[in-house]
Amino acid sequence: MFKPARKTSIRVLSKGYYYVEFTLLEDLGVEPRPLQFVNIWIPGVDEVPMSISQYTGSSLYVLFKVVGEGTRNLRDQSGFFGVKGPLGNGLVISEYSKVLFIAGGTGIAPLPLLAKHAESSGVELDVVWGVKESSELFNVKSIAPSVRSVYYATEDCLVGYCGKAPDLAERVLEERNWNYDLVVSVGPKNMLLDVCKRVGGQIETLVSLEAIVKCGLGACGSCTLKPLPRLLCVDGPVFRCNEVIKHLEWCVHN
Amino acid sequence: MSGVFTTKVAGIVLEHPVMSASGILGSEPEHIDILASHGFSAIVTKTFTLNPREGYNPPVLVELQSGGFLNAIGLANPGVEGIKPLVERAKLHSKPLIVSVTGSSVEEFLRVVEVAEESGASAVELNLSCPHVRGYGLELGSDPSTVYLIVRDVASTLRIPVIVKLGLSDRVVDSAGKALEAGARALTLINTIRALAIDVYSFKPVLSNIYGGLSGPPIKPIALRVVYDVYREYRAEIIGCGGVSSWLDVAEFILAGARAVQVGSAFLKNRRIVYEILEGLEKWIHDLGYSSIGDLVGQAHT
Repeated sequence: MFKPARKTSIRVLSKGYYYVEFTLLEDLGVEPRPLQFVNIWIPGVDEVPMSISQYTGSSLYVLFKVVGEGTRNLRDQSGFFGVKGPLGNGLVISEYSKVLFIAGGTGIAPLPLLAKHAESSGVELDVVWGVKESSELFNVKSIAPSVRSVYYATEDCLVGYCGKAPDLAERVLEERNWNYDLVVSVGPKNMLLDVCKRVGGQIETLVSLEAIVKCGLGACGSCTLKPLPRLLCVDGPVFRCNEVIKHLEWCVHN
Repeated sequence: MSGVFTTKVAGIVLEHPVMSASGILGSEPEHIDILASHGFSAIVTKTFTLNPREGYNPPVLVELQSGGFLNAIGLANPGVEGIKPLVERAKLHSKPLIVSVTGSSVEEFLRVVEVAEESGASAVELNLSCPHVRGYGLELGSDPSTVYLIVRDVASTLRIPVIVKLGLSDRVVDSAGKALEAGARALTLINTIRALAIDVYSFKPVLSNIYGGLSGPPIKPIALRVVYDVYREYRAEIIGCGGVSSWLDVAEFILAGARAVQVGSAFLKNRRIVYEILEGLEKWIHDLGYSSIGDLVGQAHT
């Protein structure tokens, strides 16, 4: 069953980006790992997969943009929602020492929890965040205060680097002599493919994927990572580049 | 090859008795890869209809406190076009593929099963018992005369074996008899059981379809009873289905009269379930001093 969660606050971070806090009547049972997700049930409307942005035991935070009926209701509806999860594999960051997080758009969502785990494990975490329009930007340190450096890229070129996140990431990597032992990337598939091709061969690179997740439990098959025999909800969402490059190429070409 | 686990149902030789249950994956070729790589001896596809169906909006599946699952996926499937790629993929893995089929009319059943046969499927399993899609399911299977009409027309059209999957109803034993009389080679007993879950904080039924099918451990004793009753009445070839989650469950189904079992919900909780079941069964058969699982079928009736 869904665990009951009362929506207790909503922050508008920037144009179209919302940060919602749910107060949990009972905790999730297990401590979620960064990049795990939950399915949030909007009673009577939909059930939507959401990256876990932050978790304190009594509160769960998600960050999203309104893209459809589900997310519109997630923004507008009040009262009780339901939480299924944590789902997926997530990431154990304590095995690394210097991590670069490359996000595109709402791919920034899992950063706060990732930053919390990085901080408690003494891992240095830098962030490259790219968006299409500069109006989408907000101060990343307002939701993830412990990150070391944040680099912004915009495609409208009004703020920060003019271009896409992978271009800026490559510059940052050059500037720092590729001195990272892990790159984690979350965002659109063409961006992930780009990151895998340009960075994956040189530094261990993990990508966190998105898919239509209906059941979240490995039964319905809606999140099959075609043409691979893998399900996002059971096997992912975090993969090494070489595990999912065929899926990324398949998606970009279809 | 003939080992301690070799069994035969509906003319299909199985290397062991644990098949996958319809509804767990089984609509895309990649799903066949996944199921084949987790040890199932045969794969039953998701139920196919003539035309593609989107299925219901989420929530479509929840795990209940009782340990079972409640689902209403809504017969989501790619339509008959999707059958052949599954058959071809199963052949790569050398696994028998059984195509689960339903329809809202005899004509629809016939058109789907013909595609399954032409595609090279090992058998069809007629789903006469989906508990949550109006006009497609339990209404068919709970009326013995409707069962007879559908199975007769399908069985007389096909050369490949016809398996009939029935759900719980007051007349399930009669329906089973009619299915056999009409030409079913084997029966899959039982489907999920129509059920409900309500969220006590939002006051809403949890599934978008309101009703769903209950599966998992809570239904096992009911499924076992149906298998027992149908075997006692007809000595039919039966595939036990419903809450199988350990070797002990399989052993019970075998003694009640099943030649094979299907596993669904337990696979969601444990990807190693098939191997764990086989380990337990091997020890059980050995402890009993038997050499073949086939010799244990129906022994609870002696």
